[in-house]
Amino acid sequence: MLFNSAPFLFAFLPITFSIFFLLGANNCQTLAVAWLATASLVFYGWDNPLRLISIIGFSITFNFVIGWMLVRRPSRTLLAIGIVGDLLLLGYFKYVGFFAETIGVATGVAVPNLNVVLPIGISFFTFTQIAFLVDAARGEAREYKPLHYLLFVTFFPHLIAGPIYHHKEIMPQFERHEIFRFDISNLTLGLTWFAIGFSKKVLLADPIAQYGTSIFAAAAAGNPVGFVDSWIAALSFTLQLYFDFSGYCDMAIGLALMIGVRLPLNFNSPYQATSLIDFWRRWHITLSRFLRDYLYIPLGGNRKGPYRRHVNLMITMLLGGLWHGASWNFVLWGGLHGVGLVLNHAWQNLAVRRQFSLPPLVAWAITFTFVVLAWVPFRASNLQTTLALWQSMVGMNGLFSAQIPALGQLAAPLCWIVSLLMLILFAPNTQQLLSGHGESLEKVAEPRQLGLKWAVGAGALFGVSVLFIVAERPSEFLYFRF
Amino acid sequence: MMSVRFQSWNYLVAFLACALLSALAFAIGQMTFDSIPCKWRGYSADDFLAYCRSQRYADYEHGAFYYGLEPDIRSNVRNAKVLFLGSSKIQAAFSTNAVRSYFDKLRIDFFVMGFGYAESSRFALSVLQRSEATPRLLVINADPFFTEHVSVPGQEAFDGGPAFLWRLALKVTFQRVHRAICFAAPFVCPESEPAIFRSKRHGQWNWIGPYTAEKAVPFDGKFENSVPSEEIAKAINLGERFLRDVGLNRACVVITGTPNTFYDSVGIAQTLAAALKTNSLFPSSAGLSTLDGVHLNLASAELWSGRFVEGLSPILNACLK
Repeated sequence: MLFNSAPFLFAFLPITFSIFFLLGANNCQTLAVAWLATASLVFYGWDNPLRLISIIGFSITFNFVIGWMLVRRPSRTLLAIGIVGDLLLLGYFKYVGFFAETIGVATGVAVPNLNVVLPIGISFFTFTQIAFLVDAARGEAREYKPLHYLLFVTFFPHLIAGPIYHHKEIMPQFERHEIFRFDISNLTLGLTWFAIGFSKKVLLADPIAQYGTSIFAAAAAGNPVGFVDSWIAALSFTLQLYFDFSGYCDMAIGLALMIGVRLPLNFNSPYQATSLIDFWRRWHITLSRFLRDYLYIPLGGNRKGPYRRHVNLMITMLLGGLWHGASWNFVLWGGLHGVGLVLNHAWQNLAVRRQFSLPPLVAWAITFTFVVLAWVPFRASNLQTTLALWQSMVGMNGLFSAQIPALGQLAAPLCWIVSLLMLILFAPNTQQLLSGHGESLEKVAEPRQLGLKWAVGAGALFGVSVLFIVAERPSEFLYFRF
Repeated sequence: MMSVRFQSWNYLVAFLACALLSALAFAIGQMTFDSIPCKWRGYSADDFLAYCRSQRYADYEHGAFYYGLEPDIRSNVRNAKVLFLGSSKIQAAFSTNAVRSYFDKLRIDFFVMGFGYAESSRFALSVLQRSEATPRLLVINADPFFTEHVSVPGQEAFDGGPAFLWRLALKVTFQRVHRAICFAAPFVCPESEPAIFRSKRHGQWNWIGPYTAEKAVPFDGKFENSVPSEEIAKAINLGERFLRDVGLNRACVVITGTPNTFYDSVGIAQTLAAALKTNSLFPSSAGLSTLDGVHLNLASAELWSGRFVEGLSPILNACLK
């Protein structure tokens, strides 16, 4: 089920929360948790209930049992069994086709098409649970009630595309009595977050997608793409991805806030970053945090000298790229960012030693250009398309695709791109708007502090966004495919 | 604490009110921006905008009849003693002064209830049933009309999805906005998009002028296509079911075929009338012209429909007794 669909907004959400608060008000908190978990499973299994619920059900049962044993008696073997089990499940559904195809290409042996359909959100719920197992083995997780664990994994605001959270930041919240009581302040605050995210997705990400989609498709079909068109495509996708995913995260945070649960932030104006290191502190923050805590640091982090640190960074980013999808394009994207981070660290060390720094505008321009170029393999369907578009972006295929387009044809995409660039560069992000600072949800303003202007603005955005999804088919979020 | 709660409730009420108002204002604005070029001089107390060639407006009459959206439209269908059924061909043929004066003189309520998009019997039957129509005489342009086909707007009306209902509500509102803007400031309404207006009282179209210019494609009695015999057999079966559902004496059902060069409408109608044991009526088609080979032009429609209602008189008298 999609957040940006009429059945979710007008049936699932009001029914789910009404019954949840009704049970909570009658002191049936266990039933309320069970209800929310059941509703979350319905949300997850909406398109293919039997298959999706059995896969996630198996994963949850497996991890809960392993976690339960690890809490009682921490054991490296048991932890390894748990992680290998999780990775096998993820590997089968996400990577088996990719590896089979790669082996086929490398050896020349005809490999049958395995046709394994990726269950939605598997990367997210697998990572969430791996983190739980590691923390259980480290003694940082205590034993939880099965129902709470079920809700921890399936909680519908985060289930499909994150944010990836730690059990220690969510589980205690499920035990607070306050979340079972209807609180109008929470509802209005959540609604405001949701409205902002919803409008980012529907009013900004979806409309700009058209300018990138057609050019990426033309490049994939082997048609030469000009310099201007290739940059329009790359910038459109850059902006689409940000507004799509950060819109989704705002909606997820808003939904959780409606019942008083605070999810971790996932974005902090990443395209304002003035270095790649800075970018990764602002983009998909919960994934960066997961990769740092459960991959980079266990590999040795920066504790074993600069060489190992660079190797560890490369491994982390390559695997982070592969996490996004079973394709060499994602490996390339991860690799590029790995190389970029290594160079950024080297440059930083040099700058500290020599006591100089780039002007912020130059630093931003280099970072942003790198990020845009790196999004090309992330979006392109294969390596050939990526290469062709990169060639176009450095002017090797002429200025325009076929003939010089009329000004009218260029005006619309350019207006969109310039307007959205202004927005991401100079406007505050959602948490800055709603809390006055950008680091956590703890200081989020109360609705009374937001005032009537906010109600009018957010209400108007919500109304117009609903109109779009009622009149037109809602589109999927980009991160659903990971 | 009370104050915080009160302010939060105020916030929620303001949020929801603004959501609703902005959705409405934006939607009407979009519809108006898209459809303001529609012809508007056909509006009257009796005529509504049934169709406009704009992306957001397009067909309205299917939804308007199915859901009874225009005032009195259902009661006019219900009270009509004589109903004309068919597609756009019957609308072209019977949207005439000749028909109106004939029935007005006799003080008999009639309704021309054909639909565009080559609509056929399934949709017409639904509208008849929803309007609780009890006609005393049915005139059907059957060439073959009795098919399972339902047009896209007809199917959308059957499905009644939220998007379709929302668009219908906007079309209802747009007509008021369109009329108000264009009557007050005609210079902002370019009238560049063709439109069809329709009478709520009699169902007749006003389309020569607003939709298409009067033209004269001569009609020589020849036709280009024939309907396969299996289709005719199916039409007979569906016709039986249709007439059984309507429950009217077959002597008070008149099947006809409007002259055109596309189908042998007269031949098809004769076959169906014989099989369904209904009356049939085929006035002379001498000297007629069409707009496009399919629809009678206005001059010919006046002529042909005048001949038709003259021929209809004995059947009408018998059925109204």
